[in-house]
Amino acid sequence: MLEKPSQIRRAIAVLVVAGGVLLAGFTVFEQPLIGVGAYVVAVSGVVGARYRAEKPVFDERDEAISRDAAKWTLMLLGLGSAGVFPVLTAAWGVGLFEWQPWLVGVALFVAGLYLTYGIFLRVCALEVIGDEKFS
Amino acid sequence: MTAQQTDEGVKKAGSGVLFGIGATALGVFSASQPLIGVAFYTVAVTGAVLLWRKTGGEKSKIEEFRAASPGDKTLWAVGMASAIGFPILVAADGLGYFNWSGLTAGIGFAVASLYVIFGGFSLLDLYNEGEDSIA
Repeated sequence: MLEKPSQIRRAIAVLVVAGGVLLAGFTVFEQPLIGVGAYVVAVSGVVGARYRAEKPVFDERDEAISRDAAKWTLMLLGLGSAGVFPVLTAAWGVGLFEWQPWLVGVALFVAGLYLTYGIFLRVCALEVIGDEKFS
Repeated sequence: MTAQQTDEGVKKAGSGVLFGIGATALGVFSASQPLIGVAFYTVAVTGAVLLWRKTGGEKSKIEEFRAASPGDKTLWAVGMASAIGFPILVAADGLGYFNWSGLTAGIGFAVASLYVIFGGFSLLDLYNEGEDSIA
């Protein structure tokens, strides 16, 4: 059991999704400590599965999939935000719309996400410049 | 050699702890002082990235991370921050030190949506790759 990388990959995916859903679910139903307990069990399972594996669990194909998926996700969310938030701000300006706290939270998260993206883009750019200098 | 390895381990652990502190600060301050939270998070993430770059122990792992696209790194960093930050918030909620406001709930839902989108694109890619390998 759990010998092949494909099986380990599937087990990790199931554990990550289950951990997140249980954490959110128990929080919504006001049993947060049970949620955290379930989450800790799931994460320990992921760490254990990766530690036990003798061969690399994720290969080049998984990396390529992750790279493409990350690119599309950031593009979709960026375009969506670029379209939606200016419209909301304009509507707020003319009094057609009120900012709700949860929407402010979403906006702050989007800002933080692209701030992180900006830091990584900058770090990567500096690395490329550094490599060119020393080669 | 052993001393050097220990040193790498300390740096790696320090990088992880720095991430955890940044994520916690972002979560704790986001409700009352979002700008302080964002500033703290930026400093912590930058420090963690720089510290992580100094680790040379598991060369292949570092190379793997460096070779990843900025988008990949962003989703990885936000994912790690969320994986540490949200369980802490949920636990604090359970112990009565924290109450979910509209703002923090909005951030939580935004994070969940981000990874639902990412998961969707990953599955789509996995499906397309599968088609390619059959053809």
